[in-house]
Amino acid sequence: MGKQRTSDDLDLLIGVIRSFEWFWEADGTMPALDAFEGLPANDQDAVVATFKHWGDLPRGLRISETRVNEEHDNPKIFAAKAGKHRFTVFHAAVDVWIVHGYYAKRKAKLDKVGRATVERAIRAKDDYEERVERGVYYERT
Amino acid sequence: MNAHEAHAQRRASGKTTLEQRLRRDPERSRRIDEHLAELRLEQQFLEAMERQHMVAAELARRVKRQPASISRDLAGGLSAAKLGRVREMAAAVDCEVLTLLIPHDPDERKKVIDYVIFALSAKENTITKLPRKGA
Repeated sequence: MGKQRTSDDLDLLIGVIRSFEWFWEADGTMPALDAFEGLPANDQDAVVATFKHWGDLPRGLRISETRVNEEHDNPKIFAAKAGKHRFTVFHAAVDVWIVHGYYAKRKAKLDKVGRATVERAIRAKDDYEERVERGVYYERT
Repeated sequence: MNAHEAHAQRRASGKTTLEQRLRRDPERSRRIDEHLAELRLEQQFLEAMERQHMVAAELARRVKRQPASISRDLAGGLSAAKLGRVREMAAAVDCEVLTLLIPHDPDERKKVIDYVIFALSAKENTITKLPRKGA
């Protein structure tokens, strides 16, 4: 069971163009933030830098696939990369992106753990949209 | 409430981001900026290569190195690269590398930045005033 979180924990960072927030499960946990907090400090800094770089990148410019890779086409699921660390991300609103899950890359190709994480992110996007629609996603303390 | 509205509400209530909290530690802020500088350099190479319609294999050929080595450089390897190698790669994508030592002291920093802007403008004017080939 993950740590119980509040809206104080929601924001990862606000870039010039894009903002990133952690996915907030219905049970009050933020698993990707738990995973982030479990990383060594230097790896955390590299992850933050990847998101900051993506968040500041002007629209229309292509980011290197070695830093952000499209893992699923429809719906779009991306993996933000820093070393072996991968955080799955989906688009929420105009300039807001949600960081959903984490996996550690061990092979060149997407492995079973990575694939399962991407599949969970696809389901999480539906869950997110459904809870926002019902007005129960952000309406928590 | 949608993501955009919730985001605006959190900003209005003064909630901080994880990045802001991490950056309260100067050491971590410095490390994040170091990682960012590497990412931005990679991005500049990517954009320069796109302008030249060049793939990594072609860049490798121009600098007489293995494509795998260039791929490594463009995926984090530049952080350990010697300046000469970065210059060689930059020249291969029709760019030059500017090296700057920017002081931490705010007053000194401003002086250096003002000078750099002046020097770059002067250089740019010189370049644009050079006669074109065949003119």
